[in-house]
Amino acid sequence: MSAVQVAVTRKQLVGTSQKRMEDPKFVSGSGRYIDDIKLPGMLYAAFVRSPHAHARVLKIDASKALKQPGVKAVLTNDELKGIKNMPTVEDEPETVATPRPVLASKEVNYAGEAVALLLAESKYAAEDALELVEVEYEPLDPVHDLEAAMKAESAKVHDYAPSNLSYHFVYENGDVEGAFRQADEVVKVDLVNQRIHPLPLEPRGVIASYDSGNDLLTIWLSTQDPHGMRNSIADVLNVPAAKVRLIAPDVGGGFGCKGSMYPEDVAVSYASMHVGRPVKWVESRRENLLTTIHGRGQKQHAELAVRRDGRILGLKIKIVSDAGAYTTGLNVEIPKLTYKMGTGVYDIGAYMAEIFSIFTNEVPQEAYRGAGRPEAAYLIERSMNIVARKLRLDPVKIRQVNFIAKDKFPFRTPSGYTYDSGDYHGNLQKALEVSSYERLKAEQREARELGRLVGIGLVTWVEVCGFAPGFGQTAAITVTKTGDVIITAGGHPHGQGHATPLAQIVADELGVDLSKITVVHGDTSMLPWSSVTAGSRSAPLTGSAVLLSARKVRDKMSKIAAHKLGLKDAKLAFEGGKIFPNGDGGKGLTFEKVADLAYDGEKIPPGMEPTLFEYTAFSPANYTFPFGTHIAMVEVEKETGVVKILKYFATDDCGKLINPMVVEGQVHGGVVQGIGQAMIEEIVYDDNGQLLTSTLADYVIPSAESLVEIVWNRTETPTYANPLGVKGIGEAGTIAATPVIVNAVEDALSPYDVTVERMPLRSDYVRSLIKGSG
Amino acid sequence: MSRVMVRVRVNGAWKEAEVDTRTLLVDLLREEFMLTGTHIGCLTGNCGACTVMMDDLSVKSCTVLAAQANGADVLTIEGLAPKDSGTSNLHPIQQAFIQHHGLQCGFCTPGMILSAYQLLMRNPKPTEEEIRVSIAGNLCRCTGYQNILKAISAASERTLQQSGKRALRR
Repeated sequence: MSAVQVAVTRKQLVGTSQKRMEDPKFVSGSGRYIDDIKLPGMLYAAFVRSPHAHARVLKIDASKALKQPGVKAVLTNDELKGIKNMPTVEDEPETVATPRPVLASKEVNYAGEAVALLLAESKYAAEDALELVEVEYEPLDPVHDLEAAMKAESAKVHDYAPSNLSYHFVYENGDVEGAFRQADEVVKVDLVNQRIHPLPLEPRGVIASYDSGNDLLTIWLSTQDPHGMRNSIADVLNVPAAKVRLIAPDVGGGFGCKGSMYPEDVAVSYASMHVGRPVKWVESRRENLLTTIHGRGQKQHAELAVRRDGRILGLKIKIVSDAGAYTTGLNVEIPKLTYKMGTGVYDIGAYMAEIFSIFTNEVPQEAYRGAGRPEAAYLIERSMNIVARKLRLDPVKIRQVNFIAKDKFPFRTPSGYTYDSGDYHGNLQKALEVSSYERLKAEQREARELGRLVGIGLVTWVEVCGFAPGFGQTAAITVTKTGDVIITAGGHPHGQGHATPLAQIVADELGVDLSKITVVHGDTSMLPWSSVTAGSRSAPLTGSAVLLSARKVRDKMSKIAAHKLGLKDAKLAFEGGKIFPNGDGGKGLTFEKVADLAYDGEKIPPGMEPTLFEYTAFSPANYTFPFGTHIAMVEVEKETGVVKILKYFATDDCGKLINPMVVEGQVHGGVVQGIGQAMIEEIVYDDNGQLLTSTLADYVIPSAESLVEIVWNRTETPTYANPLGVKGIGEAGTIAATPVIVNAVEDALSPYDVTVERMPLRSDYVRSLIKGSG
Repeated sequence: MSRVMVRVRVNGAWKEAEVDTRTLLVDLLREEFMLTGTHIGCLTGNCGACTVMMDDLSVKSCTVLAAQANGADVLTIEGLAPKDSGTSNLHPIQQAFIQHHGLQCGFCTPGMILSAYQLLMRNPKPTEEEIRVSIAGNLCRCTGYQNILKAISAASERTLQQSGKRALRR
């Protein structure tokens, strides 16, 4: 412990809404996304893709394409020498590993799978020549329907696997049979959580440039995970990670899908090393819908052992997850997150979960915003509603009866998580107040008397984030000799706006103005490691790494200032660009002066190293578990089945806040994505495995029309899992919004006593529910 | 492939290039004139990321051939505020987007701002409903649109307080 004590800064920027530092460049068109980068001598790649969902590749003949003007090369998997397959599971005997070449060489397993890469002098020339690459296929039976795929007589995706089962997993905790014996009633629920697309507005893209002199491969990638991708691409290429530098430029949205490595990333990198020129590939929107990972895609079943007063004694769930064509690793983990969060905010003692992950001839499913937790919240929150309706209980009441009590935290769930902190009753109460819930119900009664189908939905969500022990994130802080502050952040944003909140943390610690702080990120040459920007972890992890680095800088600068001022045991304040003894601003030094001293080995305390650079890798002790209550009011038009959202209230608890403006923005966007799944979004394949939703005219996402204002409020229950007390908010809206809309629509349809089993709630489906009820 | 000479007035200055006849306006702007603020999100006219003004009409530049823009007056995001002006001289709509957190990843933002520009030029005081309809052809996956509506509405109020359309015009 140092002789000089550090004082608490008074003027706090943390907790205030500061405008984002990166916005001026984005509003003036000066952002630099992957497609904006042009290197001298750059070639353009295009991919020959399978038109079949399932086929043997018999022959690839590129001779005609190679005669086209501007075409430089065509690479098939045979020409990718010395590289490995794409990653799959290793040493997991209970899971089927799927060897998957970077470019499909013997068999294609989904429509759009890449079989060859073509290089040309322009992107127009590359696309022109694609159709001249002749590929001979022998079509095989495609596997499409999950239920059919599980039957013994089904065609198989992989003939080396015993069946279409990627893995089967069973988990049980507590006296499940006893709970079901004691139950007054057993309620069974069957739901479909449809396949959807993350759909960032910027598609994927990669540029690779190989410098043979230094044997250094530089990759620019539109990614959420610079270090992870650097390591993965180097591994598949069979080159040392030290010989690969990965730079993530501005990233135009990711929502999970840019956290994975794709075959194109490896093929383009190889191509650059092969031809010795920079190579660029930017995905078309059709390729994006066809080949970028999809998410959700589960058939869900729940059985609830229920007491007459609404208490849930036991829960059994069965998840049939659509793995897509390959076992990728992530698609093993994500359905497990669904089971791990299966009991939600409820104190359910007996829990059983079963997962079947099934191969289909479709794009692999991986992480879409929330990744496994929206599916969990959907199943339990829809189930609670269905149980409440059966027992004629108010949806509020059944939740209050089952909530984990405030004094039970940290709370060990039956699936093995330890929920850090929570006040579910308090949050629900606030949500009821800010939404004037009783008045909503009165409005609903009046509307119903007029024959209108108005419904209210309610969801009390929880998720796991801040990933967490084992997935550390990093940051470094440099104070230059001139007194400027550089934050080098491990987490790389793709729209979240990391820079400003991180700068707020440092401004508070070091008492400097935000304008003195520069934030950099997204280059593997800057830091040894950081985990992916996903799972709402940047504020808890990178934020904490920044905070702890700033404290180290402050400690060192305190000692230098005290040494210069000849003080001992003084408490130094950092405020307004000055460092001074508490209560005596006149005796202080400027921040710049102390920075300057720090670089002179003769002017710092004996034994201290000169310069100001501090680094922290932060791995938290636990995950964080933010929670909240969303309430929606909808109206269904009886004659057409059209659903209209009338009101939306989100009341979330993500612990402490760094920048409330950024937090609320995350909720807005998340909610609308969740509404998108509930109302309009759906990936559709036909029985032959052909993608029918391959343009933005067919795969429709919410536009500004037909949305309502999201009224956001919050409660604040800090976490002990990190020194900032923040929990993460990136995925909250997406998790809550989908079930709340469906619950509201089911409530609107209560005169017909129907259960909404699938999404999206397009008018034809809703109308069929009304008509089908007779 | 036949070639064509195109001459376009871009952000106030005449520029020309010889391109394939099939070249899209968005590629002319991005690849020939290096104006990369106009983005490509779909190339099917659905997302609006490539929205620019062409002769006072907002167009999706992926649905216009470069040759069709010959002789036209094109305004891109780069032309909305003078290059050397710094943050304080940004266009009122650009400032409002920053002020009201009307953007996250920024990819849709240039197109969104130009759609808002056309709206406010024609209808300086739009209702919320009119704003919603006017940007329905510009998709944003990050913001849920709520703060974009706020930003456009605030820009409208600010410019009305000043000198109406003259404050908007570039």
